[in-house]
Formats: sequence, structure tokens, C-alpha cells
Amino acid sequence: MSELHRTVDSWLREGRPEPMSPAVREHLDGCAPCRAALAEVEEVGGWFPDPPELLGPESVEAVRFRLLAEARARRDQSPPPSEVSRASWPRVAAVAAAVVLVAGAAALVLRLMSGHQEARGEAAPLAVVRPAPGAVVRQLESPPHEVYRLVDGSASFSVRKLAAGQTLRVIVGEDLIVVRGTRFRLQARSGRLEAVEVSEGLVSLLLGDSRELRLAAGQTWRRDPIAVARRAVADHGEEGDGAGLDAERVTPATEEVTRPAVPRRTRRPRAPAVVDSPAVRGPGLDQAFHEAWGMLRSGDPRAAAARFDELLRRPDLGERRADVLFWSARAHQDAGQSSVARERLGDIVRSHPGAWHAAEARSALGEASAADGGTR
Amino acid sequence: MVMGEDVLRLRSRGQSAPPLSDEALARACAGGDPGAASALFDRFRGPVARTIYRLVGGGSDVEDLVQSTFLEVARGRSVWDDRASVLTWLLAIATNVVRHHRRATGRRLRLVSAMAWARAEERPAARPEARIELARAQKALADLGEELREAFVLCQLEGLSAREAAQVLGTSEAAVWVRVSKARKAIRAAVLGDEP
Ligand SMILES: [Zn+2]
Repeated sequence: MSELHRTVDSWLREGRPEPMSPAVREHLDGCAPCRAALAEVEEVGGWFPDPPELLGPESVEAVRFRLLAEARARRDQSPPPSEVSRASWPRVAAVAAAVVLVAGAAALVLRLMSGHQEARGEAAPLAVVRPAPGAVVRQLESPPHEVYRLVDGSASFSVRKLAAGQTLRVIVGEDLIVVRGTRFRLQARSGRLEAVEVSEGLVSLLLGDSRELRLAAGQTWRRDPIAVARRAVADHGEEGDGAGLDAERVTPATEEVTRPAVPRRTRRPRAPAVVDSPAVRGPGLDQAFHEAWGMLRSGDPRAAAARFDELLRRPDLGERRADVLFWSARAHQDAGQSSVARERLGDIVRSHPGAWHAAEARSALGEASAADGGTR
Repeated sequence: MVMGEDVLRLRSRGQSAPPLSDEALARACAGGDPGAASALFDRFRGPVARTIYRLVGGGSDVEDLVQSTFLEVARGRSVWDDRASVLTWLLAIATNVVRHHRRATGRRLRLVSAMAWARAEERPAARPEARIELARAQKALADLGEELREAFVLCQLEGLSAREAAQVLGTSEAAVWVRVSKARKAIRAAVLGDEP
């Protein structure tokens, strides 16, 4: 590389600040080696175009939510007492707990506004919350990004249509519920989410173990009943108080659906990631893979599906098997063979739960079952 | 905690409250403000995600690593001091997160060669060799040593000054500049087939 002259060199070192100073411009105009050096720098930069949007809206929301929960948890480790009681209710039910509990029957509408907000004349809350007797709900943040925490018991939320820029979330332990205009009910025990029941609209459920579920109206999610029961027994034993809420009693006998989903029909097909490891790279694998993928891109999903399926029979796929399964699913889906597509996606979730596609597969599975539900 | 609500409110459009400066946000984080970390995330996730993407060569880890970066902030494990800009501070966290991740997983760098090809295909009327260049450049970046790659990504691709990159990487400005030049040379050689 040519030796750079000092003015231009410092400008490059400073990260090429704009606008270019007259001194730099003047030197460049009169100095061919510096021009050549700059051209090289620019040429190399041109080989690395900005990547497409790296975090989709769902990811952004999940991270945002997680950060909020973490920062809250950090602050709650040394809770200022006034802060805790400000957004809580007085205790009524005889539930053994050292927290402030809810007054009033289930039908009583409680608007969770703090005095502080009222004093500043803020907008009405985005949700009307009806806690069951004994439930503990706190409002952590006010509109436009309203956040509640359900500590214990069950509570119904009725959320009005959210305007652009408004969000409503409920934190239960490590789990997060993201809400669009909707009605739903949550059940928690000792800071742990046990059930979500959606009666209207759509609710995204981001579980602490990083799973994401999307629940539509009529769907109920319930944590593994064995774990719930075990925990209930443990709680009971420790506290020696039978007045706590029973998960079985509060959760209605609706059909249980655990449907992993992040449906997004309009998402552009994402290019496959490739793990470049010699161990998983059989001869011609890359080429065959790209040929199949090229068929899909050029609008021939049937041929692509056949080619991907052919690839699936290879014994040397290694980690790439998840890639191939994913694109086979995609091809079959586009070719109208959604049952095969679902099989492939199920295979990813079962056989490659750690692959980068697993989340995508779960979301696509949700999309497929949502489509089925809508048309049949 | 009036601050928390103020910070949260930043995220909604059309609010009359003047936006906090980057530095004020970072200080709010240090002070344990619950909304500040997600406000920082909203403001800086673009460059942070892009830097991580380039350091790891793409793949599914990007989202996790971005989250880990901002979790360091939310948990108060890394606190901004005014020795560096807020972006420089965040990129330093991100770089460390990527290093730890790589060491923990012992994984080879993922190559997004397929993605590079796809992007090349989407460019209309691009020279046919442009596709090859893109894929080669991705591979060359992945093949660089960690130190060269970090310096190159921060200075050449993210536009940090050598001084800022030195703050991120905990080394001297001169060392950074040497690494950037070496990296650029190696990538040019790989892409254009020059002898280095
Ligand atoms: Zn010159």
C-alpha cells in the first residue's frame, strides 16, 4: 500500500470525518498516491455492505422487555419502600404472604394509577386490570410503555386498542407477556407464571427459557401441570397456610394449546447461514445446497423441495442437516405441501433444538397452524 | 424514580420532552434507572448489532450477543464513565461479549457465505465478479485473526477513529492503525488475488 501523507493519514485515522476539511481536500487533489490510498480504503469498504435489519420487531421487543425486567430486578434488590406500596393494593384475602394484596372482588375494576401520575395529569392507563381476590399486581411503568408485574394469584387484563408507540407488557417472574389490544387472564404463584388464557386479541408470551409463544383468542397456555402441582405442594408445606390460590381452581378447563409461534407472513426469505466446518462439509454439498436454494429463489419450489429432500438422504450433513431441513420445509410450504413442511420443521425442533433455525422453525410451525385454524 | 418514567417516555414518538443526551442516558443506567438500558438499546442497537454481526460473521448468535451486551448494562456490570463516548463504551462491551462467546463455545467463525451470495444476487447489474468479491471478502474477514478483525470492523466498517477503537480494544492508537492496515491488505489480497 502506498505511504500516506500526513494530512490524509490523520483524516483516515480519525475515521474519515465528514465534511472533509479543505486541507485534506486540497492535499488529495494534488497527491496521486493519497488518492490511490483512499480509493483502496473505499474499495475494501464496498465489499462489506451494511447487513439487512438484524433484529426483527419481535426480537427488539423481547430484548427491550428483558432489559426492563433485569433493570427492575436490579433495583428491586434494594427496594425503596414507598415505591413498592405506591402501586400496590391493600390486603384483604387471608393469604400468607409478606406482600400487599388486593382489596375487592373480581368484578371490581381497579385502575392502577399512582398518585404521582395523577398529579402530573398523565394519560389514562392502557389497561383495566381486575385482580382476583388475593392477587398481587403492581404497575411498574405508566403509558406509553405500560408495564405491570403479576406477583401472585390471577388477574384479568382488558387492554384498549394501543396507539402507535404504545406498548403494554406484564412481567411474571422471568416470563414476559406482550400485549396487543386484547383481553386475557394470567395466573401466577409466588412470582411464577402458571397460566395464560386469552379471550380476545393476541398475546405474545416470552418465557424465561427463551421460548416464544403467541396465543390467540380462545387459547390457554399452562405450565407443565406436574411442575405446578409439585410447587403448590412445596409452597403449602413451607407456609402451612391452605388459603393460597390453587392453580387448578383458578385456571378454567379450556382446551390447552401450546402453540409456539411468531407468525410473520410477510417476512422475506432469509438466506441460510452456513457453518463452515470441514467436518460437516462433504464433497459437493455446498454446491448442491446452493443449487437447491437457487431453485427456490427463482420460483421453482417443487424442484427445490425435491433437491433438498435428496440432500437430506446424505449421511454427511452433520450440523448442516438443520439448514437443509429448514429450506426443505420452506420449499414444500411454497409448493403447497404444508404437511411435509410441518414434518420438516418438527424434525428441526426435535433433532436440532440448538440450531439457529429452531426458533424460526417453531415460529413457522405456529404460522402454519394459525393458517390452518383460519381456513378450516 | 421520576427519571425512569422520563427515560421510558423517550421511546414514544411525538413527545414534547427533549431527548436526553447519550451521556445522560448512560448516567441514568449507572444510577440504576430501570428504563435507561432499554432506551440505550433503542438508540444504539443498530451499530451494536452490526458490529457483532461482523465480528462473528453473522449467524443466529447475533441477537443473543446483542442482548448480552445490553444486559451487562442493565445489570450494572459495566458502568459508563466519561473517558469514552457512549457508543465506544457499548462497542467495548460488545467486543468483550463476542470474545467470551467465542472462547466459551470454541466455535469456528460462522461464514455467511450464502448470505453474501444472496446479497450479491439482489444487486441488479452488478458486475458478475462483484458476487465473488463479496463472498471472498466475507471469508477473508472470517479468516483474519481476532485482533485484526476487531480493528478492521471498528475502524474501517464502523467508522470509529483509531483512538476510539484503541479505547474499545484496550490498546494503543498506533497498534490499532497497524492492525487496520494489515487487515485491509490481507482482505484486498484475498479478494483480488494479489500477492500480499
Ligand atoms: Zn499525499
